[in-house]
Amino acid sequence: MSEVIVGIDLGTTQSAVGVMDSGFPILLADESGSVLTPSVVWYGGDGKVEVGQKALRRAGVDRVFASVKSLMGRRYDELDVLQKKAVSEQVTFSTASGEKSPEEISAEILKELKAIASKRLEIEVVKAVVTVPAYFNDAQRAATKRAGELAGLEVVRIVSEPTAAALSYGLDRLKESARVVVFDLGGGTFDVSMLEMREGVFEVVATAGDTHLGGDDFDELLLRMAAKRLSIEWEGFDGLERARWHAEARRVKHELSREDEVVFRIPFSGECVISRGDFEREMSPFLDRVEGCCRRALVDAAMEVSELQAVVMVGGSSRIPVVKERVKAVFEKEPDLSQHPDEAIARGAAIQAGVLAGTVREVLLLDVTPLSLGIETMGGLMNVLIPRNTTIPCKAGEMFTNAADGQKSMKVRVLQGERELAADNWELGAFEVEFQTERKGQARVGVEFRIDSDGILSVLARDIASGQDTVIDVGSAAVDVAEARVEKMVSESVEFAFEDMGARVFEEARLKADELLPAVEVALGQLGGHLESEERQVIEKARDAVVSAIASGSGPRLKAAVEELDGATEALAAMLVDLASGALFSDS
Amino acid sequence: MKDPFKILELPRGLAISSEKIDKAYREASRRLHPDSGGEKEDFQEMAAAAELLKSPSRRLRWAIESTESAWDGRGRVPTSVMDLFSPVAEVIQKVDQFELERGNSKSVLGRAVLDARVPELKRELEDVLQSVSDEEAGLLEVFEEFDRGGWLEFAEQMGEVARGLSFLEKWQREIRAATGKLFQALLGGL
Repeated sequence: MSEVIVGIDLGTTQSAVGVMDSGFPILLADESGSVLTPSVVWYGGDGKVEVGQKALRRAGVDRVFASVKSLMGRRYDELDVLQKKAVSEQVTFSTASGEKSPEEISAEILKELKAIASKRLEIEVVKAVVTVPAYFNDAQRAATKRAGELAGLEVVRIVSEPTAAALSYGLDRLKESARVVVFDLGGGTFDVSMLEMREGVFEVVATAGDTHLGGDDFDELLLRMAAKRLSIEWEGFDGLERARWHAEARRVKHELSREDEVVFRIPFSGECVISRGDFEREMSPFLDRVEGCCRRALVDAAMEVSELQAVVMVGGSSRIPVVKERVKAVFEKEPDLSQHPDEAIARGAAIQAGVLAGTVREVLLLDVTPLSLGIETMGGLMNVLIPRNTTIPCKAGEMFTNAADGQKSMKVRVLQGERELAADNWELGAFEVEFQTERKGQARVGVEFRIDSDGILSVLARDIASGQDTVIDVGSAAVDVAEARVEKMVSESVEFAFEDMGARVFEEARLKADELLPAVEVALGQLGGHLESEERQVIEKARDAVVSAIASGSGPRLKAAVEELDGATEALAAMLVDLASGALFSDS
Repeated sequence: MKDPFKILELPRGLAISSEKIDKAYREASRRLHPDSGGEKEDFQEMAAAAELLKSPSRRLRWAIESTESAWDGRGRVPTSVMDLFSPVAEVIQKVDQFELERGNSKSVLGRAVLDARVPELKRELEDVLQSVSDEEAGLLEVFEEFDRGGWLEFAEQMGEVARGLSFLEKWQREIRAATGKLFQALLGGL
């Protein structure tokens, strides 16, 4: 018998574990018969831990830890305001059993899944394939691997979630050749991948995504909508109150996929009706971000929507009708909903586990690295060494030389991301290249960057003279959190100092006026005919007020007038945008 | 570099469709990928060879080098390619300008007026991408002739075509990137 490797979907809101059984991926159920384990952990005193349903039942009564996946491998200075409130500056949670990192909390979930699998399979499970969002960067992937180790699992492969879903979709279609899109909108992350499936080879062509976009955001949206209607300050909520409101928001979100109207009800606080139409309107900024990723993936893959055979939707948020509608509009195709939105990824992980265990021979997965890898060059630009969407495993080399006589070393910053400026990208870390003492331009060290099949980077330096290789520890990026915060506070205080100065107010408003005034003329020329005469008068009056405010030279007065004009032309702007996007997305 | 055709078990020839290269790549992956029992180094070498062959300019350049003729990146470029330079540069500059203005834009209406230009820009990008692709298809037609006549004989002509093709490939990438920028601007960016 070959060794057993399980496949694990470590999800933001729920997780699952599966294994290949007579050629089919099956999910393993816990004692209560459920194959989905909520990604929720509760810590009692003296080392007591509960995971999943049990922990979830304590929510609202006691503090539980949920959705920690979005914090895996992240630094404090990148977190949003709400996330910062929940953790310490070392990105740890304070629990009844002490400070715990997101990796440690995730490890509890993995331990639980390991226990479920070991019990069902009646063997000690020690090896696993674990999925991560395709758009996870190096640090987030490495953190996931560490969580596995903490749980006593050897993580034999990290697989991207949409790729896993594609395996699940493609397993019964191995004879077919197709180009498919996998659209994966989960609890906390969003990915979209384009794949070519031919004769059992699954080749990822392009991938795009957003690691901070998912069902949790929609819950938060509903929570705020309801709080606003009930005139309740949600900012002041404590942890338990937030948990209660979130649970209700989640229930309302689920109901709204079936009903046109749902009552949002919090005992002792009040209730209000939320209609599907209202929810969908508020969703549109999120849907625009989703669409932006889809469009970029299409551009990267150089694929036309007409060339796609299927659009496979997975992830819990795929159930939301307005999400399905947007996907259909973008890809001009009815989405394929044949895959179970919550189970497909774990099934795919089980298939890849089977490939690595040698039990599944007909499938081969060729995945890519989602983000470009590069180094900082002089002038603070990013020099790309491995472009995004390169098949992994892969490697790239770069030669470094001394710029001055006797230079002993140089610092190399390693970056991941798509922006031109080094500072706009994620810094994986930095290392020193050591030179033999030589004349300028004489010392040579070759550095090799390798991305392994897990999408994780390693760096080797080769001394050209001796041919000796050394592994370089890129390490966690040594950004001093305290220092970064001080810097931010200083720059903020400088800005505040200027804010009351009239001259600055006038200059800023003046810049905005210079842009608005000609824009008003253009827009009125194009759309004036569609306006009621009253609307037109309001806009013209606001415009004239800006012109006279400029003449007056008063900062506060101009600022107010510009704001007035900005507000008066809002409808006009919306009409223009509709016109533009209509023309943009309808043709070709 | 080793012979990429040999690595992918393909007959040596410049005139080859991208479908054929893809197929050879998939078959070689089956043999060489670490997950099917292959060696990582072999797989990476093969993937790099496939990447080279998929780019017509790099394929041609490799052919020139294989005959031990000198390759010069700077030199004559087909005039039909040079004629495309201004239209490509013009539309890309327009998109850069658009992105800059939109980034600096301070009002909703100001952005909306700018966004109204997006469909026109997108059409211009599509038109110029089409011209570039047509030009590339035209240049690729001579590949068969190079194969028939023997690479050594055509070395000089091949250099000129290779330089032209590498411009066309670079422009295709830039036009695609510019198209992506337009969508990102409209959809709120990434």
